[in-house]
Amino acid sequence: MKIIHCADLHLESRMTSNLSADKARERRSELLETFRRMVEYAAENGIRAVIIAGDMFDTKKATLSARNRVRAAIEGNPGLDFYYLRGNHDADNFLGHSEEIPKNLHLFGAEWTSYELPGGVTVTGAEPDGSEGIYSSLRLDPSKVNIVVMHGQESDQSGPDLVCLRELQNRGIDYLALGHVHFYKEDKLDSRGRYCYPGCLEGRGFDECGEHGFVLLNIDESGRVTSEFVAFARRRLYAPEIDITGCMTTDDIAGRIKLRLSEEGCEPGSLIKLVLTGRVDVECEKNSELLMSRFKDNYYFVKIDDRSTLRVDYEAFMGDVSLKGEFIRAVRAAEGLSDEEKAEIIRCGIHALMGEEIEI
Amino acid sequence: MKILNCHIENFGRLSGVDYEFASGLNSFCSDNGSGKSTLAAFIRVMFYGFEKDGTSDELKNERRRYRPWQGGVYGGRMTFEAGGKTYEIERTFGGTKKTDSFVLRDAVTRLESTDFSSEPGRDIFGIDSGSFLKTVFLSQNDCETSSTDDINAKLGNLTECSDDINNFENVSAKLKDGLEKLGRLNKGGSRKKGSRLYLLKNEIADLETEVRRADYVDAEAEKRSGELDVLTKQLGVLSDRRRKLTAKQRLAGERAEKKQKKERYAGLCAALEERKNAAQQAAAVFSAGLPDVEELEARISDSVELSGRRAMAEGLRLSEAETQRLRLLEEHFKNGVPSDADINEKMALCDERSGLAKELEQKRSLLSESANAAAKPNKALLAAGILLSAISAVLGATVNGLLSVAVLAIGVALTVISLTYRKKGGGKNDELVSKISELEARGAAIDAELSVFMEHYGAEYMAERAQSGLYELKSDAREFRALSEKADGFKAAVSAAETLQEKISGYIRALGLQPEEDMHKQLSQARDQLSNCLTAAAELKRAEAAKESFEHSEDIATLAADLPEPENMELLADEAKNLADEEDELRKKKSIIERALEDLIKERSDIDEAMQLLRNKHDEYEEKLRRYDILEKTNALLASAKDSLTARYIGPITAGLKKYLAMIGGKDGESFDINATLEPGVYEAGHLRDVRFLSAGRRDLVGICMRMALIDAMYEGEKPVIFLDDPFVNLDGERLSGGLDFLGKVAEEYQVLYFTCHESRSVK
Repeated sequence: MKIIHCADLHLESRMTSNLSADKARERRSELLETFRRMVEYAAENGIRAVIIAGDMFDTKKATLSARNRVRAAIEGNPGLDFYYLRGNHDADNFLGHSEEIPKNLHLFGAEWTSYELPGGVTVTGAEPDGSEGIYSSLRLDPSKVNIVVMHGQESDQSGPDLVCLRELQNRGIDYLALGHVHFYKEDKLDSRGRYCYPGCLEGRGFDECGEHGFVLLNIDESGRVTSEFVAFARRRLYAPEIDITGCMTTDDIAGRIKLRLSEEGCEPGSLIKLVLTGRVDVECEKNSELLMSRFKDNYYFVKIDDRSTLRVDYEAFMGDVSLKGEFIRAVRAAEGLSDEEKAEIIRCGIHALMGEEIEI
Repeated sequence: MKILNCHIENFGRLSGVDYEFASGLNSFCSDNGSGKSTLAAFIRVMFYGFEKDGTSDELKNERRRYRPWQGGVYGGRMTFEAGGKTYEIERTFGGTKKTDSFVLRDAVTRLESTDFSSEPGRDIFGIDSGSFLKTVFLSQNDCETSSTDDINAKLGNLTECSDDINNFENVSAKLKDGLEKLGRLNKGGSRKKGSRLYLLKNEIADLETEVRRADYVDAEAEKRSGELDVLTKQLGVLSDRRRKLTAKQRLAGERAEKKQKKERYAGLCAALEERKNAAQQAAAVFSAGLPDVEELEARISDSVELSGRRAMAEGLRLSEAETQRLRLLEEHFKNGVPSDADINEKMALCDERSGLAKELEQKRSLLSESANAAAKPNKALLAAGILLSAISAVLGATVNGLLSVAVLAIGVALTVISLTYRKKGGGKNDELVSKISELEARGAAIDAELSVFMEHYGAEYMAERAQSGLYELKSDAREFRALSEKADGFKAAVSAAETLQEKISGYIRALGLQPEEDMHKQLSQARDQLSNCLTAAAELKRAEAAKESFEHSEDIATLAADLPEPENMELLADEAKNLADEEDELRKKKSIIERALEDLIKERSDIDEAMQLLRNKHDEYEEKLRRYDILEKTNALLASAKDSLTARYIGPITAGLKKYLAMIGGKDGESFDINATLEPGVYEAGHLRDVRFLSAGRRDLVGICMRMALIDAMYEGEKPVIFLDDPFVNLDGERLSGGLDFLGKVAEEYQVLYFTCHESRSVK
């Protein structure tokens, strides 16, 4: 029997912190489409059930069209059973004020709820409510293949939004299907079982770089549970750091960026945040707009996070009898300015003296 | 500061050379390429080390440029006075800066000195290598000047930096323009309209207005959501009611159905009884049991055939005339009935008899003729014979056949006798007579046969009408046979009908019925009754089967039990309809609220986007403010630097320039000065004119004056050594002399290393 374990879809996420309103809307639609594709994958690959371990939606009030798309994906595949456990982001299940829930959608509550699947497989779950007593009430038949679904951060403690692994050890769990952590992680729970976070289905911000997808469980006739991560995201996010120390021109920096992107293997259609680090000489000609124009057409989205600092060799200018030398000395001597401000003023002044356009 | 001597071990093209320098003017006259520039570079490198050490440009990379062609360590030492002490710098250069060595010694004690860093030039002159290079080295090119140069520009040019102070006004304008674009604060404290900060502020204000709706939208959404909760609960209640009502309807339906079934079962039982009675009644007609359908049908067919046979018998029945005729013919043919063949045979004899008669007549004629010729026949006998034959014919035809035949025989005999008599009369006649006799005998035989034949069948033979007599006999025989046959047929038909009638009657009796006159009708009725009987039996069977099936499929015991009366289905249906109407109404309300909530969600989504945009705009605003601050400070600090630079250098430069211009003026009545904008000029007719109208040589002198004025200003402490690389190329004889005089005056204050490639320009 094959089961998909996914979590943290965060459908209807705003995603406007990086993207424009139009692109954010497009990405929201892509998130929904990735969910639909996953269901389609399940239907076409003999998957018996889909476990959604929380945070299916990002917002309490999802749009009707989004809810309808999810509902249609579920109802359109009556041969698949969906086990949906709400996470901390799911203020309500996506069914909203529906009077009826799809027959193949199975929900959980604050108390442990179990569902029997063929082949002696039991899916048991309880939604997070912060109560510590939840663990003691967990009863599992050790002769069954026990999949337990929870949502929260793995911890040694119990508490709101926490999953206390210690409390779940030696309870007969074969596979602990978790949600909440946005990156894939799989590890040993105890001598019998393992626990796993599939991560989010699709990366949304640059704190969710890397591969994303779901976990495919395979339960053989002997009840042995194996799992594998299936990369499934429509797009991937990258935030490569590029040390531009020593670069003196925009071309130098572009060259470093190109090399770094090549090393990272950033494919077209990705979302890229170029993190510029290092120290560049105050006279370095660095044009962010030009850099953007160099790379933005190759990817779905590109932004530059310039964390590089300016290096001013004041000593080098101390004997410079010129307006530039005088200016740098004047800036250095100016009171009430931070080193960063001084560097920036110097850069601005030098660029102006070099005849470059004034950045405003 | 004064350079005393230097030893160049290896440096560019110079190797193993020593130079001694005196105070004041040191003049070197040598050809181009003899190493003047290398010597100058060596002195600078001794003070500062290499410049642009890291560049890959061979010309700019001094380490590579001055590396000896033969390779290896290179460098040298230089002795100089500064601050009242004598020092020696010793430098060697390797492939990289790390492999370089630098030693500063006190030239007197020979001990290493720490009075200066590894860049003593910086410490001594207070300027860097670039500035040193740009000030104390003068070539002819550096002396050029133009009427548009002011002191500031010259200062910029002197520092050989085109994007420095001479670019200040442009830079300042750009910065101001940037500040304008960003948005200067006007007196009212607001930003300039159309500026970036102004626009951002407006955008932020708009977004804040939009964002302020968030609380309202949230509250409205909560309100709508609450209303939806209420409606959903109400619908849930209605749904429960509907489920209960549906259950009630189902129960009522079940009860009604059971009732119906019970009634149906009773009906089935009643119908079965009815069918049983009907079947029994139908079967009662046949006291001897139900007839076999096929047999009944066969007898009905028989009854039809009986009618046919009867009709056929009637058809064969003889009429009275036929009966009489048959009786008459029976009399005629009491000895039998001749067949047509028999009659035809006799008719053939008739034909032969006719032929015989003709031949006989012919023979007789011949005999007569012969007798007449030979012997007359016995005419009396002949005549009697002929007469008797004639009488016979008449008799045969009219009175009696037998009598006719007897008469004819006598006649014929008489004739034969007469003829015989004649034969006897001659030989030829005898033959004829014989023949005639033969013919007559044959004729008589035929007549006799025919007569016997005819009389056998009761008919009289008359030779003359034998043929017609035979025809009549034939006709009679035929008629007799036909009538006999018909009479026989009638008898047979009657017999068969009677047999069939008996068969049918027997059958009817076997059915327990009394045969009636119209047995066909009786049988047909029986068939109908049988059909009724069978139909009734089939219906009975069906009724039994229906009841059995019903009993099989239904729990009769339950049906038999007393059933509660079902609720009124119509009332329940009305209640269901009212419930459905109520649900519809609630759903409509819900739908409206859901749409409103959806709009609010979308609006909230827009507000979220606006919030993010607002944050971005705030960030951008802050960034632009910061940028504005940076530009403003940059502009201010640049202006301050420019003021500082000019304050520091322009005054001394102006004084120095006046001093040096005074040095080069005087002869030819020329006098130089600077105008209010610090531009140098020459007095002509009381007016300070632009120096560009001077000759190239004079302009070069003005240029050198400016450079010297700059050096005066820049080197406030230790005065540097001044390198002059053939600056007087443009001066002709007298003016060259003036230039060299000017050089001598400069050398009073500075140590001057003057290089020229021509003896005419060397200092004597």
